[in-house]
Amino acid sequence: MKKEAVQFIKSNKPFRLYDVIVYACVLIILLALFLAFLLPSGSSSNGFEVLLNGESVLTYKYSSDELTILEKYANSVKINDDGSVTVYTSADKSAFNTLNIDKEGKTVKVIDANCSIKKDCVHTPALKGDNGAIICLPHGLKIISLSGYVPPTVG
Amino acid sequence: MKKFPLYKITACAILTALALISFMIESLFPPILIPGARLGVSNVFILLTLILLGSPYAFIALTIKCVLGSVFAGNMSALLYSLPAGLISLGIETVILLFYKKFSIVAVSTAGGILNLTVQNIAFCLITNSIEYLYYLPYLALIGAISGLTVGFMVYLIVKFLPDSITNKLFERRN
Repeated sequence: MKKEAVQFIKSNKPFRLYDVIVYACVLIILLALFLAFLLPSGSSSNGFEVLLNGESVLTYKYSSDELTILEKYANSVKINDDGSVTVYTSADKSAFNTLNIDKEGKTVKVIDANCSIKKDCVHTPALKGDNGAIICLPHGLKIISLSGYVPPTVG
Repeated sequence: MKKFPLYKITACAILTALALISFMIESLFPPILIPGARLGVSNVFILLTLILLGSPYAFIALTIKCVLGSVFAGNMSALLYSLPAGLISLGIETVILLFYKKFSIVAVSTAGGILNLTVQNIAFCLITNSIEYLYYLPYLALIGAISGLTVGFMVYLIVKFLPDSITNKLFERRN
């Protein structure tokens, strides 16, 4: 930028008349996003599915308290004493994500992981209803709701 | 006169280092309600680079911050969505700043903030093939707008109270 521009910022107030255009655009965008994504209310969840690099690892149904682990991943899933479920995302079991399942509340949440400093998956709100997903990009882990979920057909 | 004078490169390096340090410190704290939602204090230094040194320096500082930030945080995959979002929002901020007599730095930063988190969310959904994650888009856009507003005010105050001796030195025509 030019020196003149810096001097202009220094000598003026933090608001200009034309800012109204920017703030109006921001408000319109926010309103449109909230209407588009939040008005269709989500139905209650039947359960959830855990995917690892796109492949199904396990499914859980709240109504029947039924945890189904795919045979291929039988050694990758550990049910802990406190009821939480640990999914190992690497062959040497050095990478993991631990899930807490709330049967009454019909929610699932990642409570521990060793993916990165940020641990975005741990800070993602609990998966409730058919809205949202929990994704751990470094581990290739994805948790999605089973409500309204249609299993992919083969062939 | 050199295209990239040494004193500007030094100033850019200092601002990049400050952006990276603040980014790393902010990474240690949990996000605001939703993953990826942060105040973005590091953007204060990127925006300062844009104002004081110009767009080429700001784009270099942003790229270095995103790459090294991902390396130090141990999450290289984050680069796939944070870098494009940062570059797009900085590009828009650069364009709006051309009309600095019409728009304030706070409005510029607000536009950049909302765009940054919106593009990040869309890029994340495309990379992970997870349309479900778009559910968080309105919240992220709102937090982006608020953080952009806050960052804009911080930058305004820093520029306003920056001693003239420093700004004069930055704009001196010397090698």
